[in-house]
Amino acid sequence: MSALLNISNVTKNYGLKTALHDVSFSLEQGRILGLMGPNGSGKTTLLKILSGVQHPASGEVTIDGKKVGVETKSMVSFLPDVNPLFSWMKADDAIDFYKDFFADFDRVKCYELLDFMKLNRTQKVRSMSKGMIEKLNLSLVFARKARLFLLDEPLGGVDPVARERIVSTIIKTYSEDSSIIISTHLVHDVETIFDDICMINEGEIILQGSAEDLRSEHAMSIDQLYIKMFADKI
Amino acid sequence: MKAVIRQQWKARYKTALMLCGIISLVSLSVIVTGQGSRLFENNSSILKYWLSIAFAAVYLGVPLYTLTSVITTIKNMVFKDTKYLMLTVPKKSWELIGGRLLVILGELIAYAVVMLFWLSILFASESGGMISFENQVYSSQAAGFFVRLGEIYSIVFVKHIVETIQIIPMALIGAVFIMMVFSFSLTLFASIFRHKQFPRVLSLILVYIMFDLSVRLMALIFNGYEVNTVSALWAPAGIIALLASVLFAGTCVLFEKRIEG
Repeated sequence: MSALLNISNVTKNYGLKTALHDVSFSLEQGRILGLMGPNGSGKTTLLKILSGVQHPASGEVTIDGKKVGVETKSMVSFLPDVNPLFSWMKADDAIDFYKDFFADFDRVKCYELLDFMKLNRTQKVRSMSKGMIEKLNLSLVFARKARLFLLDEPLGGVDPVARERIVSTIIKTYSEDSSIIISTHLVHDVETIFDDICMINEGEIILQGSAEDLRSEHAMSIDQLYIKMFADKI
Repeated sequence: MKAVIRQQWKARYKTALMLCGIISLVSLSVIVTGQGSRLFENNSSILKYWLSIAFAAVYLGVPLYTLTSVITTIKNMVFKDTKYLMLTVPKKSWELIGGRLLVILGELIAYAVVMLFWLSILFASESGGMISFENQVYSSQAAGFFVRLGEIYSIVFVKHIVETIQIIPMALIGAVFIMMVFSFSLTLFASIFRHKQFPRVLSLILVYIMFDLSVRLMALIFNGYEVNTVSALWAPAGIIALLASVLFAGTCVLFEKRIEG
C-alpha cells in the first residue's frame, strides 16, 4: 500500500504557544486512523493543516504527493468540530453548495445518507438540534468521493443513537481508495473501526502504530491504553 | 467564480427582493399622496413628516446598508465558524472574495436602477418637482405624465448619453473603492488579531478609521484636478480604481497568507 498522506516535521505556533511540534507520520490508502489526545493537544490544528484551512509554520504535508493547497482541497473532505453551514441554509441548500464546489460530490448518495440519518431535506439548519447538524454535516462530507476524510470530533455532544448512526455511516462509507482520520475523545465508541492510532499530547506525538499491534503489545483495549497514557497528563 | 457568485446570490436574493419592494412601496406612497415636490418643505403634516423620514431612510439607507454588508460578508469569512466551509472549497482567495463582492455590487446596481426608475416616475408625476431638474422638462410641465416621463428619459439617455455612460462606471468605481476599503480593513484586522482575544468592536473602529482616511484621500485626489466636465473626472477616477485594485490584491494576499496561515 502506498502512503496517501505524508506529514514531515510539521510545527505550528499560535503566537508564543506551540500547537504542534515536529509532528511526522504517514497514512496509507484504505486505512482509518484514530487521532487521540486531550483538549488542546493539537488534534484540531493538525486537521486544519491537512484540510488546507491553516498553513504550518514549518515542515511539509503532502496528500497523494501534492503539497496542501487548492488542488488537495478537492481531494479532502473535512468535517470541522463546529457547524460550518450558513444559518439561512436548508439541508437542500447545503447539498447544492457542496455540488457547486466539489466535483466529487454525489447528490444521490447524500440523499441516501440523509434518509439513513432520518433527516428532512427541507428543514432549516438553524432549526436543527446539535445531533441533527452533526448528522447533516457528516452526510455532506461522506457524500463526496474524497481521497482523505478528516473528521474532527464527529461524536462530540450527540446522543448514543445518533452516535451509533454516525459510526455506521463511517463503516458504510469506508472504501479501499480512501483514508479516514477521526479525532475523538470517545475512544470506546469507535476503537473497533481504527486500523491505526496516533496519540498526541501538547503538540507532540507520544504513541503511534497499528491498533492491533498496540492492543497485543500492551494487552489492553485502545480505550484502556488511552486512559493509561493520559491519566497523569490531564 | 460562478459557483461563488451563485451561492452568494442564494444567500442574499431574499433580502435584495425585500429591499426592492420597500423602495417601491415608499416611492409609491410619496407619488400616490402627491407629496413629491413638497416632501421636504416646511409646515409639514404628520403624513409628510413620516413620508419624508421613510423616503430619506430608504434612499440613503439601502445603498449604505448594501455597502456595509461587505463588512458582514468579510466578517463571516474571517471570524465565524462558516469560514471553514469557504476555506475548504478548492477555490483561490480572489475567487472567494471577488465573487462575493461582485454580488453585492450587482445588488447595489439593482437598487440604483429601482430607485432611479421611481425617481423618474416621481419627477414626471409632479411637474413642480421637475423645476430644478432641467429647463427642457420644465418647459413641458403643461404636457401629460407620459410626455414628461419621455422627456426625462430622452435627456438622460439621448441628449446626455455621453455623460450618462461615463457617470455609471465612475459611480461603480466609487462603490468598489468603498467596498475594498471595508474588506481590506477587516482582513487586516483579522490578520493581526487572528489568534488573540479582543473585543470585536475594535474591528469596526479600524474600518471607520480606514474609511475616514479613504474619504480624505479621495477628496485630496479630486482636489488635485480641475473638474469642469464629466470626462475630466476620469483621471481621479482612474487613480481611485487603481487604489481599489491594490486594496483587493492586498485583501486576497492577507486572506491567503495570514487568515488561512
